[in-house]
Amino acid sequence: MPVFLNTLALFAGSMATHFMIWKVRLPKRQIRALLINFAAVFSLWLALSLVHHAALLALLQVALYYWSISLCYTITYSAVEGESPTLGLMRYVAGGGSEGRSAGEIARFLDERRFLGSRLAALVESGLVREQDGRYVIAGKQPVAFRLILGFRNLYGSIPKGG
Amino acid sequence: MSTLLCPLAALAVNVLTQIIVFRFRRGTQYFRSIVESFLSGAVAFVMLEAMVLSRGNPLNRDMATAFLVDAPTYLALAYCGFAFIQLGQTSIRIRMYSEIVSTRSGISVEELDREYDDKALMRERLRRLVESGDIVEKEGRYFVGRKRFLLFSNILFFAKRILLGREREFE
Repeated sequence: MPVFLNTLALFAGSMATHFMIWKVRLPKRQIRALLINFAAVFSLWLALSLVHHAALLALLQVALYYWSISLCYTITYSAVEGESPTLGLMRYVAGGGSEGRSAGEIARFLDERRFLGSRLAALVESGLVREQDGRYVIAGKQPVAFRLILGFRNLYGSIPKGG
Repeated sequence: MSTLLCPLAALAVNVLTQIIVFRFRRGTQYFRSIVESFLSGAVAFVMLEAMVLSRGNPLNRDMATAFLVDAPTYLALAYCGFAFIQLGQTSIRIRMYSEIVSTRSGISVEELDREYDDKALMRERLRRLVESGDIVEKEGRYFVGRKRFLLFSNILFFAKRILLGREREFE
């Protein structure tokens, strides 16, 4: 039970600071800021726990529990930050009410959505790529997370193009 | 230490099952493989917890701890695992980054446009939604069918309003 309550308090603390920061000023790189927020609150708690000679196993349990739910939140938050084509289309169709939406309206909606551009902009904003003489090139080193994703994709074998 | 390992071991079973099943079916029935791997991880989790509980351990763990700590940890890890796999599977952003990484001279917007036709991608999504019954087509008009995505999109829009202060539906 202490592990559960500790994690709950820790996560609630992180969420409180997250909401406060977001209300004061929306960070430019939101996902990065969110992860830094989770890490900062965790580090503070860890330092206090070590001062109070907390048991190592309990610390590890809280750490695993805390980071798993924090990452869950971060993953879900990335959907809040961006715009999902599927969910956007669903809300647009729902907005038509009992009349629904005509094929023409759907086509116009699809034409107006530039999801590709928004994803490219997100890559630039996150510092992964930069524009140079009208071309997009990689900026700096490949992040570890990206290498992991590509490595995992290789385990799967070839994947058809989708989106 | 064994108590800590239950959710992690269950996650390992989940991911391994996912890889094996997906490769065995040669990339088909992706979502079915996600459900199956999650369930196999859940079965492994229950078995491991039962073993730990029956043997006793230094933290005096009980059913409540397993229920309140370990089970949510496995669920959260499984969700993270799913998102990680999904990222490599369908994320356009990852694919675009991959294309840029693979070229020395970089890639232009025109080249990306040719590779990832925005309209074609959206038409493909509409087709999938109609096929799955999430959107229903009646006499040339489109209506909401199954409400699962709509519920999720409403929650996300609510979160956008609270966190990002967005009032408009589409920006």
